[in-house]
Amino acid sequence: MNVIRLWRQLRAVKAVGQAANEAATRETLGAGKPQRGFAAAFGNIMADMLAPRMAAMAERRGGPLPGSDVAVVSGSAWAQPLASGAAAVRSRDAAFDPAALEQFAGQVFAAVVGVWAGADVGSVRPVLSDALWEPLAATTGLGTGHAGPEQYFAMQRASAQIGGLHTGSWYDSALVIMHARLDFVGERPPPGMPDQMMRWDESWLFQRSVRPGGDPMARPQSCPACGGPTQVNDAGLCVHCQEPMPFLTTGWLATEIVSHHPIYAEMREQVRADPGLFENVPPGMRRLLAPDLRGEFQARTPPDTAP
Amino acid sequence: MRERSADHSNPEEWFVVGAPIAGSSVGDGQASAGSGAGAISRVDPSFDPDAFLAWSCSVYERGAAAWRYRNPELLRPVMAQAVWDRYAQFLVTLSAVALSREIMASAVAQAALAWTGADPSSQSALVAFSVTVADPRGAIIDKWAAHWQERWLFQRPAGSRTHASGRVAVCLACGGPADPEDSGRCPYCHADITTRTAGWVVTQVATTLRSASKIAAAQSAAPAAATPLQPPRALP
Repeated sequence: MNVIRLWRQLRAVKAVGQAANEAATRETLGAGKPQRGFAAAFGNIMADMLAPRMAAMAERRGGPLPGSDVAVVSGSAWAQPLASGAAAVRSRDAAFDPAALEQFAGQVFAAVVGVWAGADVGSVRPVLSDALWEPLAATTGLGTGHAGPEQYFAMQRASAQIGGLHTGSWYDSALVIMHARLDFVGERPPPGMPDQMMRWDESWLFQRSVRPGGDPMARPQSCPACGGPTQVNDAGLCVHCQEPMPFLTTGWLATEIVSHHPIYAEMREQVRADPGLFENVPPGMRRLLAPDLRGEFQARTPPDTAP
Repeated sequence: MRERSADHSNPEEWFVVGAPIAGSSVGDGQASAGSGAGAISRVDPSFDPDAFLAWSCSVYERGAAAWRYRNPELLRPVMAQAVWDRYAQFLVTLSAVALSREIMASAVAQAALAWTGADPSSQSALVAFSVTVADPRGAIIDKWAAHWQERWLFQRPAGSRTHASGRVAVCLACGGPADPEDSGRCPYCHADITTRTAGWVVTQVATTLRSASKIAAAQSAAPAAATPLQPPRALP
């Protein structure tokens, strides 16, 4: 009886995985024919389960809020001198103090590390954008222990340094460089771990809407571009004028994290050196990889030739 | 294998989030009090129990949509913050697994008005949902998760009144039907109708769904941590 039940369970799980597989293949340019069979189906189940974890640990997490200035998205905003950026923010917020923002950013980093170490994920909800908080909550919400990469995320320490300030039409934005390191709390690092793996920088983008609102972030009642009532399509664009619908925030939120840890570059090089690694990844998982790597693979894979 | 009782009469089987509005006279025994709709109808003659029940089902269906789209925002307008916070966390945690998400999205509920009350601070309506998972894979994975009970406590301030039409979700300015998917403005007169449910919000949810209490237990075991305080800001 139990064997029959187990078999039915496996069939049900496989059906979900196969459906996810076919959907992922449809959505992934150059992914070829959908993979079939138990292994492929389970691969996609795992991809789906791992998606929040990968999003929470990825090299690039979250992203600038919709309606951010092009200069913030492209990074050109950070080329201007810090003093002029600070003066611009201060011109519309007389209380703005870069040192206070730096301190706040450092506290946010420490609070996120605290969540990886087992603290309540609700504690960082008010200071993270949805795109950063939701995968973190999904990954740490079950409290299923801190083995694997999680333990390293829980060991991170950082000092924060503002790298750029920008006043946009909808948001104030701040690039904060986190000088991060692993703290083994008196214990010896794993044998063979090179020093460059224990010290790295991360770029954290903090943003707040010029007009406060949200809890911690919410869309305004009407589109600031066309004035129509707020309704967005799946891409987050106003259904009336197709402009990005921005968010109101209660205050500064971390919205994007880009890690410069050398392990990510190493992983990219490994995949580039051995395209077979990539080809064996199920389509659902491929979508989770870095966009530049995905683009490279798609560019050199003719349709219907991938497994 | 030990089997669970299915009548859910044991209070320990109920997992509860949220709390009634402070000062409201909602007691522990409300589910069995069975006072019908009279308590609200006496202070609000336009209150229509059938219309309210139908609307409460639409709220539950919005919950199913939140699972389908993995988007707890759909429930925010009809839930008190304390309830929504926990529900959103439960949803994003459990829906990381596609099968869980699809099973939860297929839940259909039979609703019954279990209790109503009115006191100087609030009006209350307790709706009992008998939930069944339509997706047959639900029973295959865990037969005890294929059916469960929920009690949602809807409350609104004592002075609230139902629109003369008896409709629950209406624009209080012009009386037009309020689309639960809308943005907070009446599509007809464009008035702000964030209170488009005539003030009703879910202030407490109780469920016998096992995974809810399991996840909550894991989450409540996590130590509380301080939220970083925002730097000072001078607004013009």
